[in-house]
Amino acid sequence: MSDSPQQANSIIRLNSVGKVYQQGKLQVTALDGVSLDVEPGEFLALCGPSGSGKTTLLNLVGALDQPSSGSIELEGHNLERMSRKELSELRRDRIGFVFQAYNLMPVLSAYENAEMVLWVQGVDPQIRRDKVMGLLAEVGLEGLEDRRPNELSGGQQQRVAIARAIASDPVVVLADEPTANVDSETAIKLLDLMERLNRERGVTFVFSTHDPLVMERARRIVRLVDGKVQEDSQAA
Amino acid sequence: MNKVFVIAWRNLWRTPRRSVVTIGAMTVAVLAMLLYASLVEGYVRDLEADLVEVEVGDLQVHAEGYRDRPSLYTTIDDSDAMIASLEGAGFVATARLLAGGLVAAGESSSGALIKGLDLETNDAVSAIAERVDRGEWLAASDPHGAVLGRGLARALAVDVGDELIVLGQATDGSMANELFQVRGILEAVTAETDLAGVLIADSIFRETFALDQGVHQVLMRRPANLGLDAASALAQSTIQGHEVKTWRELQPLMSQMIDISRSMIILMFVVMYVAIAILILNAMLMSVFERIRELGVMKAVGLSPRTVLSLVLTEAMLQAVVATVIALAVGAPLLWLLVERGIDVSGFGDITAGGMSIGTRMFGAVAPHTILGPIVTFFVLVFLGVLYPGLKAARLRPVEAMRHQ
Amino acid sequence: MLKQSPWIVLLAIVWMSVAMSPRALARQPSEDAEMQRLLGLFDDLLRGASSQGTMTMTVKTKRFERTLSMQTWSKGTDKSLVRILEPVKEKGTATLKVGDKIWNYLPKVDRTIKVPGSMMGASWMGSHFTNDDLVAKIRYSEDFACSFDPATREPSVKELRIDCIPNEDVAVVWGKVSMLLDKASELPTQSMFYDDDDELVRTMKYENVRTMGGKRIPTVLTAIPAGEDGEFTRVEHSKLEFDIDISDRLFSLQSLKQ
Repeated sequence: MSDSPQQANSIIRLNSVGKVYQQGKLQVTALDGVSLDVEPGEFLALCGPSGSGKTTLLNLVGALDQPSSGSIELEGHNLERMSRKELSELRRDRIGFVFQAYNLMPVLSAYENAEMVLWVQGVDPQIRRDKVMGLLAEVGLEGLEDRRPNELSGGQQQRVAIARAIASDPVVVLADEPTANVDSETAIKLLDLMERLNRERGVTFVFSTHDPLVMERARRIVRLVDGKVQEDSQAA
Repeated sequence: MNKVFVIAWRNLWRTPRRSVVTIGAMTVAVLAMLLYASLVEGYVRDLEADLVEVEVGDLQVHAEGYRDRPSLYTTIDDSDAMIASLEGAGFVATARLLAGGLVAAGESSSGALIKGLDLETNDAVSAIAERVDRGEWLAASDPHGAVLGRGLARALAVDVGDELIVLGQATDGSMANELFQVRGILEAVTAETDLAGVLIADSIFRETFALDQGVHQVLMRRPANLGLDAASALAQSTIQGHEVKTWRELQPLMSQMIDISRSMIILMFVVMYVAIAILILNAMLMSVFERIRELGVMKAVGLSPRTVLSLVLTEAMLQAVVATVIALAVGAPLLWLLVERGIDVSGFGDITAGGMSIGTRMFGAVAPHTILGPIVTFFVLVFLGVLYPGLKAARLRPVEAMRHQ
Repeated sequence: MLKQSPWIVLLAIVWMSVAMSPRALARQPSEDAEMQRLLGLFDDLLRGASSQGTMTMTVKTKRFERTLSMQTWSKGTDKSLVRILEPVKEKGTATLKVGDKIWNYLPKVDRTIKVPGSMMGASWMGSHFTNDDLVAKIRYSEDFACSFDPATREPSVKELRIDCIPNEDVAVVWGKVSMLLDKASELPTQSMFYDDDDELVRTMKYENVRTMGGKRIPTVLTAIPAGEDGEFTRVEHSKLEFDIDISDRLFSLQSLKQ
């Protein structure tokens, strides 16, 4: 339970957030009184064993789910007070998502997948094009724009997902186990990419992982155990 | 928005077999309905034409009370003046004499409706002469010639040239009886005429039934520029004191039959398409179900429920459009054949439908509603069929969808 | 035994218009003997071995009035033949009845036509009688339940009134038939036919009792349809012989023509 001193600057603020799932007759506490502040430009790893609440936390921050208790603020807006439509727009405009799997639309090319959020936003096609082509080059997919996901490797697919996630210039990119389905070499490269984007573009990353190799690269590590923050440490 | 089409179109070809089967079934359904609508329309038009052009005319005048209680004595006595004034108002009209009676040939006999026709004016009003299947139409030179319905001819076992005796009660109370020769046999006429109609010249009718003057019925066709009701009003104002009835009033059953036949098409569409709608529902449900996680991610990154709904709807509609285009392409020549050549139904024996005996061929007819009806109904039902899977997809909650196995 | 007069063929028509029941059925055992005797007389007035005669039939309707003179033959209850003598236009027109079948011979077209079932309800020769009336057989003593009108049993009343209701299993068009019998002669003077709603449909008058063919019988019979102002069909017998020898061949299609 950390009390952040830099409240004013936080882009994400969790205040005693709890989440209880009903699984049949069983009540499962996924998160229990989590408070957390994330500031712009952070490169934060959520770690902890399977079932510790990492994904739940990301879902709550990403406005995909509602907390059972406590409150979540994104750029000072309390998510609880927003309508479903507003939440949907918030996700579209302010948050980038990278998931573990099924990230991409199989019927769309790499380019089209990366472009999707901008398309949904209604961005002018020409601007869209320039931006997406630039992004794909930046994530190292130049020349592969027209490939469908099944013609790309797992790492390449995640690069597309990262390109899509940052296309709309979100305040934060939430990545749920982005390296879980790739080999460690690829994982390192993805981390390199994310780190570079964090450094060069100032993209805030919050990602979950249980891979020590990935954890090492984070500048802040929040360790969850049984739905509670057990450790919140800044790397040197 | 055009992106939705792209995605929908590509989605279709993720499961080509399913899409092809769905489109195929849709095509068959639409094609069948296009042809069916055309046949029904053709049939209905034939019915109407048969009824109006051949037998009933647009309008009829009877003496007051005749229709309630037909009687040889209930006549219109000023028919010449009446017809003259009707013709002055733009109608063509002809007078008819009617009597119930008996026709006999050899050992057989049958009840009959004997009609005396004014041969000079009849053809301008009624196309019944064209319905002579065997033999010839009545001629003034052959006063003892009679033309009768095919059903009646069959019941009496007579053919052209055979002898026929017409019996009835004459106006003087005596037994009307006259010998005729079968001159012609009618086909494709109303069931009444088919089974009981004996047509003779009015002069011999008068002689047989001792009817010196008066007619029982005046038949007319309306001026081309007037609707049925307007024509009826005009005729009624032209001739005071007699009842003018439209064919729809005279043949309420047929009139209803025609209206019902038209509206039955829609019912038929619905029945046919419900099967298709279920197919669509199933196909789209499968497709949504298979893609729940993918759709969850889409919704997570900000696709609105509406966009997801439109995506699913578009997938179904695209199939419907493809099916419709194919059905129209395949249907056009078939429809042309139906309209121009008709189909041979003689193999089905003697068909009587709605009181009309059908000829040996059925023809289709094409009208805007025979094309648009099947297609619009089809799209409405496809839309209804896909609504459930579409809404299901649109309402997916991303978290649950992504957790879906 | 009562003899059957030829005009009784037509009388039978009238009578039998009472009913179309082909079969007489068991009567009520409680009918009293007097009733049975009178009904039997009435019924048998129409039956006999054979007859031959001439008569005139006058038909008056709103539309026309016509008079036909005809010759009649009958044998048993099943066979009868009527041939028109006048007017000239219809001379030779003949009707043959054998059992429940009727044929008409039409001299103008020289053809014999069997009257089909559908025409049995139609008028016979323009009269108020139908073909069905011609073939109908009925026995009041067996097919109807009859009762005396008590008031008419008073000795001071000259005519006896009998009301008859058809038995349930007898197919007749009438709901009730009433008859008036002259007590002295025990001959009918009038009968009234009612429908199922007890509305008078037809009245028959039996008049001009004379001795004919050795038998006293009413020789003028008038059928008056109810509600048709001034309409009637009257049959006047002019000559009548009973129990004469008539060949069966007379009642054949061949003899119908000549």
